[in-house]
Amino acid sequence: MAKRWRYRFLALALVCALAGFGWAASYTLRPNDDGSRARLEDFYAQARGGLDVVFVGSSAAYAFFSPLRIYGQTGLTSALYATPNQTVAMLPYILRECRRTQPDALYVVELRPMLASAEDNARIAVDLRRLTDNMPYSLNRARCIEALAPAGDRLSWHADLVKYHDRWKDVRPGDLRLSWGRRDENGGFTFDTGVESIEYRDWRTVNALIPPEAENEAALRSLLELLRDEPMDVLFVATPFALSREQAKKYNAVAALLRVYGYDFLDLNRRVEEIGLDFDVDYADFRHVNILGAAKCSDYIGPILLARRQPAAGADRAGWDAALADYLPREAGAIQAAKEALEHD
Amino acid sequence: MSLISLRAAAVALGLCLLLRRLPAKAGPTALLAGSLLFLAGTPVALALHAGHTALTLLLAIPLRRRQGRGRALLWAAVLLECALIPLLRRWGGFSCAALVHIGYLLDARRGGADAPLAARAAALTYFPSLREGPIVDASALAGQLLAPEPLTWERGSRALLRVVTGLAKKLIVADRLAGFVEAAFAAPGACCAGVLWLALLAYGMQIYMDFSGCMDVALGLSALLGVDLPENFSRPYFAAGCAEYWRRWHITLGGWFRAHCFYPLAASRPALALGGRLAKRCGGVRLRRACAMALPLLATWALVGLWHGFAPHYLAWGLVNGLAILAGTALESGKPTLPRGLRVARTFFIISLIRVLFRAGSLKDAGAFYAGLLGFGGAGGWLLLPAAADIAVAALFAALFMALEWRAERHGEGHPSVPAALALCALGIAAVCILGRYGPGYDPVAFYYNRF
Repeated sequence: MAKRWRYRFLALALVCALAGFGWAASYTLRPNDDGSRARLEDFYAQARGGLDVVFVGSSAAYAFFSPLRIYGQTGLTSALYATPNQTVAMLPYILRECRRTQPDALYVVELRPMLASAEDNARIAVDLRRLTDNMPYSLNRARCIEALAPAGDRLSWHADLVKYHDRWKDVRPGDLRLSWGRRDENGGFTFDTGVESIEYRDWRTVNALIPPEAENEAALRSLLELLRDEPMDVLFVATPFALSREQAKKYNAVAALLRVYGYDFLDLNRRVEEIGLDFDVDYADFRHVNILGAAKCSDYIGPILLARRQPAAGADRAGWDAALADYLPREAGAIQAAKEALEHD
Repeated sequence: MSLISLRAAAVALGLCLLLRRLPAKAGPTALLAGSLLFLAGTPVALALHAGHTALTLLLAIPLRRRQGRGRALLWAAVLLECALIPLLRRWGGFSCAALVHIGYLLDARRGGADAPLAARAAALTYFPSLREGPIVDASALAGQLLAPEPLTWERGSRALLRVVTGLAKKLIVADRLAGFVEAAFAAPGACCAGVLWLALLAYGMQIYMDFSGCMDVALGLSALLGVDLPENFSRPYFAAGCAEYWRRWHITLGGWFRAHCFYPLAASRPALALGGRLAKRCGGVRLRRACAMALPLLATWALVGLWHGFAPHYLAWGLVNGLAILAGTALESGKPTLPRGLRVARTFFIISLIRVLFRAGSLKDAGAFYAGLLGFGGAGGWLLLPAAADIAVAALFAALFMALEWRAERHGEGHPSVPAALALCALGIAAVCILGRYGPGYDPVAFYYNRF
């Protein structure tokens, strides 16, 4: 009898050891090729309740807003929970995920995904992996996968070791992880020093509406219903880019829908002059600003956020100050590189 | 529908839990249901195999009634089973099952196969051995299914270790080498001799790790269900001659053909007469012995070759193996002149060369491969080699498994204690999880013997 219990205990211990090994191996072997992992790990590295603001969105969020620059300007601590090609349907899961550790933060949700067509949504569904592969294991993550991942092969979505185990050849000592979360030197902000002149059309006088794609509208409505049931402080924004007349009308419809639910919509496409954006200088491509434009957008939104939210007293100021001091020379170098690129152009 | 699949794992686990709670007489029915559930992953295979089993059970009824008589009916039944082999092979590689069914019919004619119907049906569809073997004696298996061994910690930990070992052999070593072997055998004319020799060596390791790994999984799963299947390998790469090699490789196939083809042929009057005439013309005891067994042996090996595929290169492979065994018998002396290590190496070399006929797509391809080995091929092919890290992992694990076999060869098979077996299982699972070739991005490589 005693022997049987000893074996049971040993088996249980080995199962736990295996689970722990799988857990750590999974975190270690997750890909780190596009900044998504660094960005989301930076969010999870923040102290519980230590953030004043969380930026949520796709590349339109992490290319436009620099958390460390905003901290330097306003004292607001912020992080980016942003991955490429997010869809609106992912937002409820993202907000639930963020709320687990930052329940009192102001959430700035970038709504460019509302412009995506059904085909775009289907095409970029694969980018859901950039989100779920960079979330720690949780029930919310499992629900997100069950709701949004393509049918078939769900196992490799839930247990990402199944997909990424062969990355052992590329692992460096710095990749080793026992838990999920590590500060990023740029606070998750991804800057581009390229310069491209883009053709910007001013649609401020267009007030007509075109409903967004039905599935996007339905997803936004369900998000707003969720926020009604589980209130959070959310500011919806749209970052400026060379949008078409049709897209401007879709944004008008989004603004109208948000008003119905009592939310503001800060459409920065209507404030390009106040921001000071120069479309010959501040863009890296027709959808994203470069470091020069990002500095202007961050400087513009900082005071708006400060008007809604005062910096929390308990934040780790010393850590943020050190990170800012480390970041500023890099930012200055990037700005200089962008200016040189502009001169050579 | 593979033994390495979530379905197989779920069926085995479900049966493992269920059999502990069911009365013994309900065991075969549960195993039959489990096997059908396993097959249900491929409906065509399920229908085919269920139909095949029903047909065999029906054919066995008159054979058993006529005990020892009914030769014509037996021949008709055997020919029908043989005719089914191409169909079975096409829809899931169940030609092993055809041999099991033929063996069952022969046993029925001898008056055996008298277990309850559920046990016989469960034995004929027993999923761990259904596809790749081992080729079981269905009547004996039915007896085991009626009284399975209880699942103790000793049995369970060793069975699990066996499954994990099989997974490691297959997913870490065999599948790592499969791409290189496939590419080299597909274009032997483009590869230089060095690459082809490496491919030959890699193929020897790939097929052994694949097939013995498959058997480890099958025997391990079966042991978890309380049923001990016959061993199919006994460290064949440590054999010191071709005949010994074939007594150690795919043991159950060799045993089946020996029992049902070689011995009846060797004991037949025409074979005895012809063998006797040949033997009289030859001098020396060894040569006479080789002559006496030449015809039945070559005929049996021709059938072994054709069982693998109805193609000239399989026939040639079978006949060359038969000739190699005959040559070994004729040339062997009472006391070997070479040390055992050298004889083992020589056997591996000969078997590897013969195996080209087995792996090549045709006699022409095999000819091109042999020409390439002699330096009459291309000058390239080095790019086909796997990445250095993959070669290192495959070589490391292949060396580890061969070292364990060498130890067993010298000191006999040992059984690890329960804690050691459990700890090794955990290590093995961790190794397979990280180093195994599985998941999206990989084309799952079917067990090599699935095709037969």
